Amino acid sequence: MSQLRYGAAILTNRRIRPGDLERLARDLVDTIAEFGEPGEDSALLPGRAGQVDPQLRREVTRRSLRATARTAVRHTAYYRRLFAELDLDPAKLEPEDWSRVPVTPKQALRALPAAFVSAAATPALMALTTGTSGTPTAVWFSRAEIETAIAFSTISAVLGLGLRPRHTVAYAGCSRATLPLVYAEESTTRAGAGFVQFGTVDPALALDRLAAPLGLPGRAPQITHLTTSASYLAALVQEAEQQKWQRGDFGLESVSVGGEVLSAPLRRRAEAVFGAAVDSAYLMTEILPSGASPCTEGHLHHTTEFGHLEVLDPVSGEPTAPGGIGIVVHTPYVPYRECTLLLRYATGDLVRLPDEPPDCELAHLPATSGILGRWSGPLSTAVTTREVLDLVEAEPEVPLPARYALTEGPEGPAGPARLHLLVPRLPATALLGRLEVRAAAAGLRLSAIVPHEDRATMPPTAPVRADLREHSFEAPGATDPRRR
Amino acid sequence: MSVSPLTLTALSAAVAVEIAVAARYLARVRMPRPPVGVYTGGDVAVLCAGVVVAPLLYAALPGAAVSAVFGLVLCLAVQFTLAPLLTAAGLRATPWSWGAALAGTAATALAALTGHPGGARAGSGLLIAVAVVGVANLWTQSGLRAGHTAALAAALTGYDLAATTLTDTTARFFTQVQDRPFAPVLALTGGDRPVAVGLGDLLLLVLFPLVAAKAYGRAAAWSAALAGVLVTSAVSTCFALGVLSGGFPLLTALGPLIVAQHLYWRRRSGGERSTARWREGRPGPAPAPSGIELAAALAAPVPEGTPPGSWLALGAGRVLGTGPTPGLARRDARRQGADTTPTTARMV
Repeated sequence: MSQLRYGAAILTNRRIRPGDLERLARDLVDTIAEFGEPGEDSALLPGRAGQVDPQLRREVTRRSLRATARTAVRHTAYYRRLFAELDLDPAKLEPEDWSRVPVTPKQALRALPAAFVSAAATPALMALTTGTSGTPTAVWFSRAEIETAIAFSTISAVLGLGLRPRHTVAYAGCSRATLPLVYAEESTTRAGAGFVQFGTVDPALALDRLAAPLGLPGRAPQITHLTTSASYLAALVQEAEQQKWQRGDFGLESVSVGGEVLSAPLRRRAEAVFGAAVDSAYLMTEILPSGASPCTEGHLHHTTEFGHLEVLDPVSGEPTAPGGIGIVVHTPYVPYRECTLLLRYATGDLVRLPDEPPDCELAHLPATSGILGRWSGPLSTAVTTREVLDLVEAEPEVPLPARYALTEGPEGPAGPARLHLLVPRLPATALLGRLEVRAAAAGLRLSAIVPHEDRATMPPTAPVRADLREHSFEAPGATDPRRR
Repeated sequence: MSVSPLTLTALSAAVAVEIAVAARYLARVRMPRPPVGVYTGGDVAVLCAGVVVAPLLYAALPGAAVSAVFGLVLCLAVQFTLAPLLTAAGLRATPWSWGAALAGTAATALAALTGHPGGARAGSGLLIAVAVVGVANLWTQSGLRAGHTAALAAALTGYDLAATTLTDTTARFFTQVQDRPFAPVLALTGGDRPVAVGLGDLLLLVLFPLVAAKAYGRAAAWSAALAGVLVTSAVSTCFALGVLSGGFPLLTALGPLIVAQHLYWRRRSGGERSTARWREGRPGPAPAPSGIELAAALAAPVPEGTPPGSWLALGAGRVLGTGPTPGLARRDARRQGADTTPTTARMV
């Protein structure tokens, strides 16, 4: 019955009963316990990105966009005013007309989050983004949205991540990021696995906890899964390499990275030191439960079930052509979202569209490149964060997380950029030579690479999540009686 | 009028063959199942309610309508039984399974409509035999537990007793469907006193050996099958000797036997094994965590002079490494050659 009610809610764009999805997630956990695997067609479960008839998908998109717009106009101050000004009728919107709805800039949400909160919803939890750009974005969620998303998260943890009761998950994300923390803890424990919150403590402490035996009957002897940000993973990799930790010291099976760009060299180094597969999916507080998953060919495939993806040129706002770079603009659908409603939300995250339609296992879902970085002006597309990180994180000499800044080169904003990079010591002739050769080989539009020994002499570098270091009363070695 | 002992023996043999075929099917054919879902006590309760209510509903329908309902159900059951079998044989399952099911159903109906009761009885019997193999396998492979089957048997025993001996519900129902095609009985003879076993009885006779095989293993399956055939034969003997003459509620004998077997095997094996363990060929239920390593760690002798506050990596009843933190103690153990993860404890 719960599956039928859930299906009916989706078909009619009516409110989802969280209990129905919770039941589905619980049944899935029971199914895995009994059979060891789900039955046939598990790709059709909620959030599993199963293949759907394209005609049906188009119709669902049309209805979902219209229902979302209608609800947003009816219940939020921002869109009521916007649609009235533009004389737009949400009930008559077709997918072809969707571009008539103005893109919602992040600044608008930051300026007055309450203007996007539905009057028909009961806001329960304000999720604040980490605010690496200086100002956190506040997004209100209702209790039902949270419970629904936890159920999706549980299904994803069991089927996507393969969590089982023998596993233990460590969450090394900022402890103030309530929403991802709640999702991670709830979905992990509902899957029957164990959960431990590290926070972003001193990487040496985190490594020690990852290596520490758990000694729990019925569980793997050590922590098996790690969830963290790319910059904190970089800090862990650096500490592990310097302190000669080896993969045999850990029991990790999987490392999940989110929130920041994960470069290919950092992934390789992390896999080498931890002996576990490292994966990076795309999730963002504002557009939850929408997101994207990587395929085996390296594309990022965006779910069409929970929201509508557009990739737009950051300057002109026009759809990005194949092969071009654009920003992710997303509309999370009603009824998955009912509290903070957003239409054509400009995430600011840069992606490149594939030149050709992909033919990978997720080809039925819209594909982009992995996240390239965050739009902050023309420099951010001239040389993307991913290109810089792919260049510098391959060099073990460069301290992690890498500190760098891009500034205009001698030819101005249209010309090649200058890359400022923090290095352990000067002169760094050999390192610089290697970086220049590799940058040229990669075709990076850099006029120069400027090494800095002191961060204070550098142009401002972008903050990263690993900077949100949390204090602890314990310190590695402090309890060592031989050090007293 | 006495009943032929040969026919009664044939009935027992038919039951034995049916169990053997179902067991063979279980070993060879994997049936599809939905992405999520396991059987619960609620499902068994709904099933019991259906069994109780169905004859009352049928009583309100004309006999032809009841035959049509059973014909449809049997046709569907035969189709889903044959489909995975044909898939396993490398054939196009959908058209062939539907073709066979529709052909069997149509031939049975045609025999009945053209005045060939023997043909209709044979057709119905064949359809029922195939359907029971399929349904018993579907339930077993979908995770129906021996406990569920025992609960079902217990509930149906009570119902069968009430419906057959205390009331005339079963008698009226069989009168209604007697000599009609698709009647829910595996009948070897026709007439007023057919040599037959009811669909519900046959289903439990076949089902329990299968779930016993899944839950407890081969010995439990053999004993369940043997018990079923013996009960059938014993009742047949009573008919042959004239001790019994009318309809007999077989479940009043079979049901308690199923419950007793389940309790015995559960006690002996420590519980039922999951479907996953059965498919992997692992015996018994998943072992409960023992905590032996922790007990050994607590008993490990600590080397003289180990400063308080040190962390010890313990394994195989001894200290494998030390360090200022649990992680470093574990790393020290690895460097000292420990190839398994030790337990760590702090020296106090």
